[in-house]
Amino acid sequence: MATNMTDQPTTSKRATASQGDVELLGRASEKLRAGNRRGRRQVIERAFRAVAMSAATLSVLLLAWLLGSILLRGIGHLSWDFLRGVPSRVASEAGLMPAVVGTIFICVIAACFAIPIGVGTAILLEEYRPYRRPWRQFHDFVQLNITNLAGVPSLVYGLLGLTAFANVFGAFGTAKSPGFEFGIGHYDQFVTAGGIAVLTPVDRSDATPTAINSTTPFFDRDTLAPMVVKVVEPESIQKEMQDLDRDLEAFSASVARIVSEEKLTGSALDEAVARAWTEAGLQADPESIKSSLVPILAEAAGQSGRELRRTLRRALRPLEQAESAARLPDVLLTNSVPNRTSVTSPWYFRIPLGRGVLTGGLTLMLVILPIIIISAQESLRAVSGSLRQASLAMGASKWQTIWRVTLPGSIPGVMTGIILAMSRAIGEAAPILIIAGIVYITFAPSHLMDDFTALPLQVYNWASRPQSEFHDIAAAGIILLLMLLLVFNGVAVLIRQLSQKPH
Amino acid sequence: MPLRSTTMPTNPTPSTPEPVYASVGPTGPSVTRPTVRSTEQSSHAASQAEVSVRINGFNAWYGDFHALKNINLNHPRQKVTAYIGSSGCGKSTLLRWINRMNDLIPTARAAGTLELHGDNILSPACDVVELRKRVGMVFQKPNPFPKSIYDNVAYGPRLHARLTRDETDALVERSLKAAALWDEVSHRLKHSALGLSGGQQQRLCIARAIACNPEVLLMDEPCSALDPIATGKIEDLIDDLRTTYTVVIVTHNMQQAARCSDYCAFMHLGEVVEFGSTTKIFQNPEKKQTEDYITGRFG
Amino acid sequence: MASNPADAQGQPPGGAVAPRVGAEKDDLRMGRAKRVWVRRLVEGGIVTLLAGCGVFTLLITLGIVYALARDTLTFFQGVPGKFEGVSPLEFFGSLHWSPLLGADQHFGVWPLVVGTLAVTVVAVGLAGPLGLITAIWLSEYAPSRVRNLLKPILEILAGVPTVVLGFFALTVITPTLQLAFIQRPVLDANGQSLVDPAGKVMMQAWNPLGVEGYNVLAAGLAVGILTLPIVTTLAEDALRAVPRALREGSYGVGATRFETSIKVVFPAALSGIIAAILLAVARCVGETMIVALAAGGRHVPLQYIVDPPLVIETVARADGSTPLAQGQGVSSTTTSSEEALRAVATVRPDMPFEFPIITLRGGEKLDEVDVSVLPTSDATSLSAQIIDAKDNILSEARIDIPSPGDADANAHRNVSLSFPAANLTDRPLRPGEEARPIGVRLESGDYRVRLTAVSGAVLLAEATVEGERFMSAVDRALMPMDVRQSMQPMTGYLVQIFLGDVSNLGIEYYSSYAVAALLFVLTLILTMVGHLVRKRFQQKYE
Repeated sequence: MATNMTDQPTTSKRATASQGDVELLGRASEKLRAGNRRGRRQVIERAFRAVAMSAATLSVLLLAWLLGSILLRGIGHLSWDFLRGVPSRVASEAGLMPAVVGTIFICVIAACFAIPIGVGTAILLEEYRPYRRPWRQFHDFVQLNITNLAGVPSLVYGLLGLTAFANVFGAFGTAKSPGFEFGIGHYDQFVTAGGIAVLTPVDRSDATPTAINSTTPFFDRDTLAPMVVKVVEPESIQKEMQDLDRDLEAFSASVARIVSEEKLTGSALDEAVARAWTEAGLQADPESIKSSLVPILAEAAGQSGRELRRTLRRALRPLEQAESAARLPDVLLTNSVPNRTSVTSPWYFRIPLGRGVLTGGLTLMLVILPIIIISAQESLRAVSGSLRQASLAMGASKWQTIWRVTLPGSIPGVMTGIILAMSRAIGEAAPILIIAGIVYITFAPSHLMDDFTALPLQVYNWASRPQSEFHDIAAAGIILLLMLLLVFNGVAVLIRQLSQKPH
Repeated sequence: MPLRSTTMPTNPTPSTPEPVYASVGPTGPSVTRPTVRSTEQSSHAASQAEVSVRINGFNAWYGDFHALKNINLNHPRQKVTAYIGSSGCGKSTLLRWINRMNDLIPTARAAGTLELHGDNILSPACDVVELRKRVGMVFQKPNPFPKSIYDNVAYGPRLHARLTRDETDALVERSLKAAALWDEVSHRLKHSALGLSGGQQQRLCIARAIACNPEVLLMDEPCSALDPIATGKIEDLIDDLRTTYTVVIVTHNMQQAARCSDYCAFMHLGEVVEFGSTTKIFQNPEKKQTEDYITGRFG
Repeated sequence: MASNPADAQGQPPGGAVAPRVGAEKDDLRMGRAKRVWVRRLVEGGIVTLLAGCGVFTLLITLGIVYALARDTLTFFQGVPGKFEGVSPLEFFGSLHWSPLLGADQHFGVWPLVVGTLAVTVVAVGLAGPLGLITAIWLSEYAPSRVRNLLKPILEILAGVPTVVLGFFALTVITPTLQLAFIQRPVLDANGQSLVDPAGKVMMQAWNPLGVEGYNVLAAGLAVGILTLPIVTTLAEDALRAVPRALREGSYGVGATRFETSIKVVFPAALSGIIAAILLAVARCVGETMIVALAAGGRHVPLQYIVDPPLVIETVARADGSTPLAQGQGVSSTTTSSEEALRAVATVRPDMPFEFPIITLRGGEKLDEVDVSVLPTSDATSLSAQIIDAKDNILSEARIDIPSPGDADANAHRNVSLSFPAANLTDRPLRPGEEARPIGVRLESGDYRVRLTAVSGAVLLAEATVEGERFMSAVDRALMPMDVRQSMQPMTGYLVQIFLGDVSNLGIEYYSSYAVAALLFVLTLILTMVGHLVRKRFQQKYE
């Protein structure tokens, strides 16, 4: 604004313009002197002071309400069994182990990637500021970009992770038929007449079920050790199967008679049934069938006629399995229909990554990367310039200065930032929801591509169910989550305190 | 110690008269005495009809630090009193106690007598808000609000009274004229005050301070952030303001004190070393310390 | 080097023999020359590596834009042979959002936007004034001891995960709004109190305000609690940045602390405060878990909102010897049948009613399904189907409902359909076989339904649904914004889609990408405007 160059300070002795002005001034001065608003202003001041203080305490009260209500609800359900167990459809037996392990996995993966990239970008932005114009614009653009990324909802990162990591833009096939994989074996799984599952290797690309003959190699399902299996034509064991059916029928009839006519109960019933079993010529161990029979017999106790027969028919199915396992343990029919299965080793890796724990970790990395960059930038900025200059003056190169002077000096701040980013990562459910979905996971991930769940996601799963028992254990899960966060934040505060002491 | 005055508010009593001049010998090499603007007044501060601000036995602390020690000062009415002294001697602290600005500092406390036209400033019954209406302040660096020029000046009056638009207009005009700023800004009253030059901003702050019709105007080194031309204008302004208000000015600049003020209080390390008319202080100081400071031997 | 007078022989004084200056230079240069290019290479390599990190962050943004744009384009263009595209005109113009409604699909995005807007308004309505006043108190009024106490508390509040707040909204805020500590009996259409099969009178919350079980108000308040610390800390930073001189100028003319705070400090910090509010709004818009839990962004296949929610439970499992699929565990327990009845659901007359009963796992086999229906209005017939996950009908039946006549006892009007085992599944699942969900679909009507699914000797699921009034999550016409009801914001819809089976890549899947793209653009605009405001209008205080 232009200054008046020719001004002369005018004196207040210039006469006022008119009588009206003088009157106005007089009235105004009188009002001023009286100060006719003082009482009201005092009231307002006191009222606002009270309002402001209650607003501040309201924040504290809200936090107390939040923590208190959840604590009350969930503390009773927190136990070591709860931590070690697996989710179940029954709330009282559900546990958190897969969720905790899954969270640890994805956080470690996220940290492994986010820390180097994040700190590297922060060093680039803070230390390597270019002078020439095009590079400067690139620099500013990267900085602006990071500021925007910090505001992106985490859900969108989930979508990006799904597209870029899980499906790799569709460029390498799908999860079911990946473009590249190792550490996995594909098999056709057969079940022998005895109910034993065996595997024979197949080519992934071959969709037709293996035609088996006596030369087909078989492996045990659990140990992958070679197994000997008798491959026979269905006709050749027809006689055995007929015998088996006949014996089972005889047994069923005996039991029907024992129940309806002799009306035995209790241990007498058990003994009679065991006798009927061996009398019918059945070879399976009577003890092994007892556990399946007992509840059925209990139900059958009061029944008769058609109802009884129906009950017993239901009972025969597991018995059939047990008996054929005893008679023809390793017989495999040539017309058996297999189903395709696969066995993975712990180092299983495939591209596209699919919706596994590696994808989850990488997606989480995307979420926490801007946070780490911003806080690392701030801590690098906080290192005093004189330290840098002293190092450069001694002849150290730029990178040597960064590596030996600036970075070590900023480590407390960077570590605090990392820890705070990790505590944010622990609580992020939305991107994990997109990647993993709501699946019934009862195991820890056995390889990087495996399905997984995370602590906040499990809490969401339970919280979204209608039963209030699940809400109780959701509250317990939340308490665990908050305790983890407390530990993390406590460590961050500790680092801050320790780093400030020597100064 | 609580902010309680230990004396009852009474009519202002004249302080003891200053002794007559002592002769002063020659001083060291290359010493110049600042020229003193002659006043029509006699040199006795005590013979004034009224005292605006009476300070008696006043002590002030910042926490444990004893900042002001046993101050005795009577500020004559409608005269300019200057506080001079080296850095850290407590001039600003004392000034800020007159309108209780030190209340903003949690560790500040005071005891003794501090009266404004007979009203005890230090008593708990004293309404600080009213006090600051009656005592205006201008700060070292111009600090106009980020509002329009009009709103800056009208800010104070609007707080204290419910005025009509015309009344506010008249007040603003009068204040700006009194601050010698009216001609420069009358056509752009609604523009932002931050667009003015440094000197104009300071005059705006003066206008803002006098808009509430204060009795006393406190100025804390008002020209130290300004260039010489702006300083000169402000000093002329002070000359005019003197006819309406009692002015107390803190200054680092001895020449300015010599030019502008009627009375001077020389302070050192929290105590008033000497107080008297400007002429006397600069030509015939009683204490050697004063003489040394005036002639530039220290400070 | 200082030049000292040399003696006659040309030796420097002091007798020490310094090496020739020229030789010195050579050695230095040669020694450095070898290492220089190695160092330069290393340095250059490191810079390239760091630049790579920077480029990676750019790639993230590019990736987001590409991932969203690609499928949004598919949404607009359609896939020949699969589905037609939706014109942007309909997307932005239509006020009807019902993507899962089969034949009656509409894709106007405004209901979702209004849902997001409703949550945001409630959240900012809580966090804005409260946060700003707290910020003013912290910067102008509070003694530093109190301030040092309050700031960590705010940090803790800021670090609470969103699932926790969503849970809090669902289980604490909503019942509090409903005044659930006061209960009243559930009444049917005739004003009689309902009784569950065990004979107990069904009770529900008093709910004088008419707040539904899933509602925007509770979710909005929770989002407000989430953004409160953001607003407070950012606003407080902005207020503290205002220089002290301004405050002194105000106090100097006799302003109270309130007047100084509101008339001088607050306007001076306005740019920072506006930026804080904008960042908070951006956070609200993108919030997912809270609204998913509390506002009604539900997941398929429950395709309706029930209030309170429908209960499907495993009641008993026979003996634990059922063969299991590899890696999965099922535990056995018994729950009383009273627990199964907790729903006062709402079924709309013209919507088919579907929900899954069970999901078969390894070794399980469905033996029979009984559907027992208690029509509470004038329905004359009922048809039901058992369907699998791919909508194949496994079995169906139809029955006529006798008219009420003079009988008013509910039990007389029960009708049962039974689906015998032979039509359902034929053999147990083998280890490794995929689990199969089985559902029951009933023709629309106004009735009370009880379903029982039995496998072996086991009662697998039992549920009862009552009919009154219905609001579908999938059919959202633009309704007047009522925060007591549930609304689906944009993020809620995304959760709904991605929790379901996305392998049937229909248009619904692509519609979610269009919504996600809109969400991304909105938050981008808000964040950028916030930063622009802060940079452009920041007062340069010396």
